[in-house]
Amino acid sequence: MAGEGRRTSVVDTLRLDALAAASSLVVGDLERFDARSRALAVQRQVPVFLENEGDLRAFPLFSRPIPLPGPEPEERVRLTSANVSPCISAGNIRVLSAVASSLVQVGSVTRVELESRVKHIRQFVDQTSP
Amino acid sequence: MNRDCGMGMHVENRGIHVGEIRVTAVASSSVLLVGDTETILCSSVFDTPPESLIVGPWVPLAPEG
Repeated sequence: MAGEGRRTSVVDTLRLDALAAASSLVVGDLERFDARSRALAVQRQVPVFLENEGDLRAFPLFSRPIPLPGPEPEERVRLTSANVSPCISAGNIRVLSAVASSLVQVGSVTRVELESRVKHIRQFVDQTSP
Repeated sequence: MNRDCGMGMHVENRGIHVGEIRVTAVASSSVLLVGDTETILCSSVFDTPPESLIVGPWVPLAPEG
């Protein structure tokens, strides 16, 4: 029988090695999933890092609004679906890592909103300066 | 405008089985999903401007407080 709405997800095995920085592995259904991550990626010739460094408010990148698609047009596409098969399935899933506002999910989710901001900075020591 | 004139799309989800999925990394606002969804909104900002290359004496970055 053709059903409406969500299918049942079936996965035999799932292996995930690393999960970091506002990322999630979800088994099951969700209504909503939101994740935000902000990072300074600093590479230094002299690898000294202080604890109180990196106030993100000093970098406009982390507060600048991101342009998003505008409101949906009044006349949207009428989407209907029929789940002839009640399942969506996969055998073996192998993921090395999920990082920076990422989602790995077996199951259904109505709405996902993710945001990641990374600023790279490289610092070299000038040998010629006094 | 008459709404009946709009576009319609019908999807039939028949049996789907993927044997093996291998992914190195799901990163910077990405999704790996086995299932159904209605809306996915992903934003990623990645900044490496020329001024991010700093040559000079060692100075801490934007100390807090």
